[in-house]
Amino acid sequence: MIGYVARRLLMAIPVMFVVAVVVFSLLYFTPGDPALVIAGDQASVADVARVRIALGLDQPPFIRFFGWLAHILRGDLGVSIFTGQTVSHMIAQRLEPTLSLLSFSVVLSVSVGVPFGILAARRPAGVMDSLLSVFIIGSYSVPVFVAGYIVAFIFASTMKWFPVQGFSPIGSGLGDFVSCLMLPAITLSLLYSAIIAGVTRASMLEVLSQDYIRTAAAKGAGQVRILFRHALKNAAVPIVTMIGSGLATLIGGAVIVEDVFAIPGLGRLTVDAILHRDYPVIQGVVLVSSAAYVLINLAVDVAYAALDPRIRY
Amino acid sequence: MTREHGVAEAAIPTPRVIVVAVPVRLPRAALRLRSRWELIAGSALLLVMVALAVLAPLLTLFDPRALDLAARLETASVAHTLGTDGLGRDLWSRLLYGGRVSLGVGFCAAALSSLIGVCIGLVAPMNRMLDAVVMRIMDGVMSIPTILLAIALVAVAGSSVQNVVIAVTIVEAPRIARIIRSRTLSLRSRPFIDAAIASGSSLPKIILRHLLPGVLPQLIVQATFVCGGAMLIESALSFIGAGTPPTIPSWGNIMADGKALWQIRPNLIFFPAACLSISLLAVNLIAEGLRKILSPQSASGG
Amino acid sequence: MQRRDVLTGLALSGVALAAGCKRSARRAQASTLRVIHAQNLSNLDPIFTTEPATKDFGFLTYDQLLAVDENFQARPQMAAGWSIEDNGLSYVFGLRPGLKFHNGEPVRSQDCIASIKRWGVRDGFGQIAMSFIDGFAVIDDARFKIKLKQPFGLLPDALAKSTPSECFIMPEHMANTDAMKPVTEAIGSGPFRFLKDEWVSGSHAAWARFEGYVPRAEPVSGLAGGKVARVERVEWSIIGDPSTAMASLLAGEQDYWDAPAADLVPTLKADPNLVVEVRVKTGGYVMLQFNHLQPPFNNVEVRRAVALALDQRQFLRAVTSDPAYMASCYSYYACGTPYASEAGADIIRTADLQKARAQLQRSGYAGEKVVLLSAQDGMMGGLGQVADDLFRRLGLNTELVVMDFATMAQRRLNKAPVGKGGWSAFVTGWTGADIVNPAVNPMLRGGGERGYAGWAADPVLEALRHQWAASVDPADRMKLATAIQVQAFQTLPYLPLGSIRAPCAFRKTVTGVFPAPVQVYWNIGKSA
Repeated sequence: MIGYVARRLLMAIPVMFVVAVVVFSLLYFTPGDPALVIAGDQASVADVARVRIALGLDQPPFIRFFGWLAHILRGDLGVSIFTGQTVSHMIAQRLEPTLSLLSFSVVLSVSVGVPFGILAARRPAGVMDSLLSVFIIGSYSVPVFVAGYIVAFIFASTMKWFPVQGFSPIGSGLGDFVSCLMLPAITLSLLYSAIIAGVTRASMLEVLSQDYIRTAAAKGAGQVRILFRHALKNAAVPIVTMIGSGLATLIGGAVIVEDVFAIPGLGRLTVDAILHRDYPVIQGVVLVSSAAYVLINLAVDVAYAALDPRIRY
Repeated sequence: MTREHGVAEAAIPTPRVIVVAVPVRLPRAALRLRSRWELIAGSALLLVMVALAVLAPLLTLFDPRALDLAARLETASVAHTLGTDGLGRDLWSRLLYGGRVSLGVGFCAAALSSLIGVCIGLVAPMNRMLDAVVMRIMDGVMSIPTILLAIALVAVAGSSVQNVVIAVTIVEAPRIARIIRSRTLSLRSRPFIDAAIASGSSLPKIILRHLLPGVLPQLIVQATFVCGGAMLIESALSFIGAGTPPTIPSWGNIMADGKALWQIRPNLIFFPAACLSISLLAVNLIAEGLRKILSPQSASGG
Repeated sequence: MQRRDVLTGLALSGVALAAGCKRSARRAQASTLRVIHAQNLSNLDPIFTTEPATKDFGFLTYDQLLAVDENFQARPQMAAGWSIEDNGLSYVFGLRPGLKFHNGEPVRSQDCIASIKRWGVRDGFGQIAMSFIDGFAVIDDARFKIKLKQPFGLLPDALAKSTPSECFIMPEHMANTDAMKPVTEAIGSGPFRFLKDEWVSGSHAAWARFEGYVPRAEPVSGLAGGKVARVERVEWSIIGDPSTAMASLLAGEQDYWDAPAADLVPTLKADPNLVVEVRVKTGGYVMLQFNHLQPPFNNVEVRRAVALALDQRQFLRAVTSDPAYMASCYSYYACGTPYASEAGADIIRTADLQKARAQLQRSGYAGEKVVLLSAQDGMMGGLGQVADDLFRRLGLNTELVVMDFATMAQRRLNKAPVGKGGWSAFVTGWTGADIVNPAVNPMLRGGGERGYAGWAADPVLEALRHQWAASVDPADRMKLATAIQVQAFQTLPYLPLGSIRAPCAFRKTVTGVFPAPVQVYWNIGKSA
């Protein structure tokens, strides 16, 4: 087991290196000169040159890349061009809203998706099953931002059950926290729960058709016992895998949802930074989110291996 | 290993899995019809959307780019069937021509990423070193959250339809490459490949004549999924403001323009959203139908 | 999952939701003014950047030595007054007693002098002032002298200017830093204290009332007078999406919206809980800037063709349909201000496409490519498309390139030909206060390559401008200002596209909103 984890960790390093190269070269090829912008309209050529040297823009790309890499590994993600704050500080400020949104969405999706899938698998071609198919097809076809506006319109503007926008940290009270995150989480969960429900159903169907299930039923085990003690445990592997790989969908959707509901999270920070060419912030955030994604996949693989000993090759 | 089978992580909602339960008790004939309904329904819908886009000049008299500031933000009227937008442009006309861009980006990106993905996926497994390096690169690119990578690419290269297609291709091609690669690997161990090698076929011939037909079903299915994903990414990019330039109509753009005004003119968001959703639905139905016919053995999930 | 558990779970969440009040209700203490600020605050140095959000931040956090009143006259603010000595070659300023910075330190002459020097490095009007200034002298902690090389009657106006960059007074240690690097601290002496720990760029910012602030005795008038902080906190929420902003204002989650989208104003007006009024009476102005270094706009005849085709109403209608909020303005100065007139303006009043096309023929335009830059944010996006449409109908070979404002700010610094990343024209906007006289207007210049992006070269204009600055007689200045406009309509450094008076919207519980050239938040309180 340890060997497996160690091997996966080692494989992650070249992946992160590729990410670093991609992120760095992306911005290196950007047209435009940040030194000009910072120096301003009234600056002389000497002033612009001074700014350029201060930013380290005059050195060749290799040196800049490894210098940047060295800083990253020390934990120094640089300083934002436009706000003057350190990138780590800006990321730290935005972390809580995004993590809250993502966790809430995962919890919501899993608690809706898994039961839905189980109920659908229990009676194929039944009501729940058809409902699930419709739900899945529907949620794949509606873009996240459209869903967001519809949800906001119905539940916030019209029925006034929830606020239109904003975020309240959990420290300021659970009620506010839940209330502010409910609509964004519902919007994000629409697709994620559909994916999870679909996988759950398929996996459960496969497991339920196995002989040992029939044996258990023949022996007189009750529905619940069959579903949970025998079927779900064995069906869990693909479900857990899907929860992990579906997280990429979630992170992508979070960017849009943060925009629609004005949540001060990492997604919004990155979009703003990209549109304003704030290079250090862009590099820092994309790097951090890629690293997070790689780690999550690693965790999923480990969980996968823990659940199914056959995987540990 | 099992994870790679058709279930790579998704982009902004790109379905990798649509599961429609197959009831085990119905007779075979009914089964076959029921299993084809997605293909039929999806193709019909898509045909309608494509027809609308292609026949656009015949269906509207308005130039989608013509400004008419005296008539801005009108509601549906005799002159303007669906009303006008913030600059007085006819909405129906923009929807039709926008379909060309949105559907076009979808098809082009699907075609391009399939081409690139299949090339990489077929060639990489031929050499262990190459395979390891190429797959790490693919993993690396896929580790960057898709929407961020796409926005960054368009922001770097500039806003244009070509750049959106290129950005979506770069984002989606690695996924196809991985899937094709794992299929190639599993095909490679089959006897007929050994036979071909034994009979002295050259490598390119093996790839083209033996492996390619083997991966083709999977490729077609994935390409269709990518088409839907590409349309979604394009609309999301345009919606944020980092996609198709605003003078060129696309469904995402029309929504971006109307985003600030949806409380007074909901039609500006509703109609393009409906067009997009119908097209996505169509593409997804087709993809699911194809998947069931062409590669029924790929487990849906896990 | 058992059915029982599901039901219990639902019941519990229902209770939690009912009990957990909305954030808005909890925070709606009568003492917090919640402002929707459309533009993001990203930089804390009002000398370093001219961004509107930083300007608004500056007025809350800092204070000015002199300030303009509602008639744009310079009045003492932190200064108790000033006297002119030595035949106009010396100005002596005295500070009011009891002025403190937010860190408790008293405000001294040294702080003022250092601040003025730093401001004079980057700001246009400041640079003019520094060219007249011979030196500074500290008389004591509360009085200092500015010595001039020759009489400069506009010194008070320069120090009082309300347009970016304003001469805010910072502590000496902050003002003694390089003007090319933004300061990151926010220690001012204004009526509100910036809460830097609560600032999340792109999302929100907050200020608390500064208890040590000593307001002047007289009532507010423009940006002068007594700045009394009537709320304990001011909070900005940066909500870029206008529909979200409107929804939250209507729901009572916010109190004040500084820039409602023009099309949403009727909905706001219809709500009985809101007041919609124009606070910045000088309004906003939009203009079309040319690149004078590259063809085709380096040819004045081509610029004249565009001017002949131009119809200001087309541009204004791209922003709003409500005639109450737009007005044509055929002047290089803000209409309604002292220097505005229509002298020489016939060329932009014509709006005749035929004449314009004929003029284009005569100019010798040979199909050179025109690259039109447009920011996509808000109203600028629409204006860019109207300009593109105008160029096309005129017969110019145009390409419209849309980008966000920050990128456009970069791209327009490029002096190369259009094939190499250059540009030919862009649309931009300033507030009325920014174009009220030749000193503050950054685009009414003829300094060639050294100036603001556009680089019009017009020595006659520059000479007139310098004469205007050096003149001590207001009547003479009026004549010179008019002469500058007439000259400008001849050589067309840029084209005025008209004015937009945008209202602000706030809830009825907000009191004390007064007209001013900048949206400032002192004197504003909340009734229960």
